[in-house]
Amino acid sequence: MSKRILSIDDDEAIRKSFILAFEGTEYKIDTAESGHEALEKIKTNLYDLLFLDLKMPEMDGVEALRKIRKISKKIPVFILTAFHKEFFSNLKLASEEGLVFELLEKPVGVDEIILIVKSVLEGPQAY
Amino acid sequence: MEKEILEKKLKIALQKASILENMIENTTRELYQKENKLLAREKDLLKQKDELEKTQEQLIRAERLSIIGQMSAGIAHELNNPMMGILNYIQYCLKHTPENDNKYSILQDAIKEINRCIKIVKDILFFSHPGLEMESGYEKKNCNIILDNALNLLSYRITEEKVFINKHGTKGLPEIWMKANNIEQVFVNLINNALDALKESNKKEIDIDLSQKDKFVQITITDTGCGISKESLHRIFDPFFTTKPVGKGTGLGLGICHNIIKVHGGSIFCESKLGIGTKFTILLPIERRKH
Ligand SMILES: Nc1ncnc2c1ncn2[C@@H]1O[C@H](COP(=O)(O)OP(=O)(O)OP(=O)(O)O)[C@@H](O)[C@H]1O
Ligand SMILES: [Mg+2]
Repeated sequence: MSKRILSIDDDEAIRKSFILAFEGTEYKIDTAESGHEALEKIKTNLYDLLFLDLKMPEMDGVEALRKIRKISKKIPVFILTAFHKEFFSNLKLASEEGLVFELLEKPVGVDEIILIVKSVLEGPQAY
Repeated sequence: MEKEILEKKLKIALQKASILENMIENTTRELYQKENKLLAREKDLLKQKDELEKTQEQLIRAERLSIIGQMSAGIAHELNNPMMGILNYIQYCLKHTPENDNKYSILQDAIKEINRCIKIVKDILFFSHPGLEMESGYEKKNCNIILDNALNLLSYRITEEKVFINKHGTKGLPEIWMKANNIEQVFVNLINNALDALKESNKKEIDIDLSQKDKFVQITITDTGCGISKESLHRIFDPFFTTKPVGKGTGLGLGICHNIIKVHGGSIFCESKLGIGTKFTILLPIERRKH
C-alpha cells in the first residue's frame, strides 16, 4: 500500500506545491487548510508523514502539533518555517514540552521534498 | 622747603604707582590664567559636543538600520510562500517538458532566477535575525577548522581565479564558543568579497592570520585587491550597499557578518587603501558572552 502524506498549510501555493511534487510518485498526498481540518483528517486516516506550516491563522503550527501529538506520538512531523521571530519562541516552548518534530526551512523544491520523504519513510538505504 | 615736600610727594606717588603697577600685573596674570582655563574648558566642551554628535549620529544610524532590517524582513517573509509556489510550479513544468523543446532551457533559466530570489530573501532574513535560535547551537570550536571549511567551500573559485591563500598563526589557538554555521558564513562572505576585489589585480593574494589577543581570538583577512574608497568605507556594513553590478552583489554580505559577530559578542572592522588592498579584522571572545 502506498504511504500517505499530509500537507497542512493555509497557503494554497504551498499545498499545490506538495500535490505537484508527489504527482507520479508512489506516495499519496493529502492536504488540509487549517489545523482543525488536519485534526479531522488525522483522526480518520493513517498518515506516514506530516508537513506542517508554522504560521497559520486560528490554530498555529505549534498548537496544531500539540493536538496532533495527543493522537499520534510517532508520526514524523516536519514543521515548515521561514525564520519568523515570534514563532521561534513558540517552537522552543514546544521542544521544551517534549514535542517531537523536525524543522524545514521554506521554500523547498520538489527534489528536497522527495529526498526528505524517502529518507524518513524508507530509511537511509533509499539514497 | 617746598622742594623737599615736593620730593616726598613724588616719592609717595612713585611708590603708589609701583604698587598699582604690581596690582595690575597680578590681575593681568590672574586674568591670563582664567582665560587659559576658559579656553581649556571651551575645548573640553567642544570635544564633548563632538562626542554627543557622534553618538547621536550612531543612534540615528542604528535606528535607520533596524527599520530597514525590520521592513525588509517583513517583505522577505511574505515572499517565501509565493516563491515556494513558483519554484515548484516551474519544476513541475520542466519535468513535463521534453529536453528538445525550446521551452526547456527557458524553464531552466526560470529556476535559476527564482533561486536567485530565494537566496536574496534568505540573506535578508538572516541579516535581520542572525541569532534567532540564540541560545541553541553554540559549541566550542576552533576558528582554524571553521576557516578551512570556508576555504573548502570556495576552493573552486580560489583555484579557478589563481588566488594565493596564505594562512598563519594557527597553532595553539584556543577554541571559542560559537555557532559554527554562522561563523563559517562570515568567513565565506569575507573571502568571497576578497576574491571579487582581486579580479583585476596583478598580485592575487589573501593573507589570513589567526592569533590570541588577551580574552579574544583575532582573525584578520587581508587582500591585495582594489581597495575601498574613503566615501564607501563607512557605508560597507550598511544593508544593500554594494558597488557590484546588478545580479553580482546584493550588499548584504557584510551586514550579515556584522550582525553575526555582534551576536557573538565580538567586533569587526575594516581598513582599506584604494588600489592597495583591504584588511578585515574580527575579534571574537573566547568565553561565551551573555547578550
Ligand atoms: N575585500 C574588499 N575589497 C574591496 N571592496 C570590498 C571588500 N569587501 C567589501 N567591499 C565593498 O563593500 C561592498 C559591500 O560588501 P557586501 O559583502 O556587504 O556586499 P556585496 O559583496 O556587494 O554583495 P553580497 O555580499 O550581498 O553578494 C562591496 O560591494 C564592495 O564595494
Ligand atoms: Mg559580499
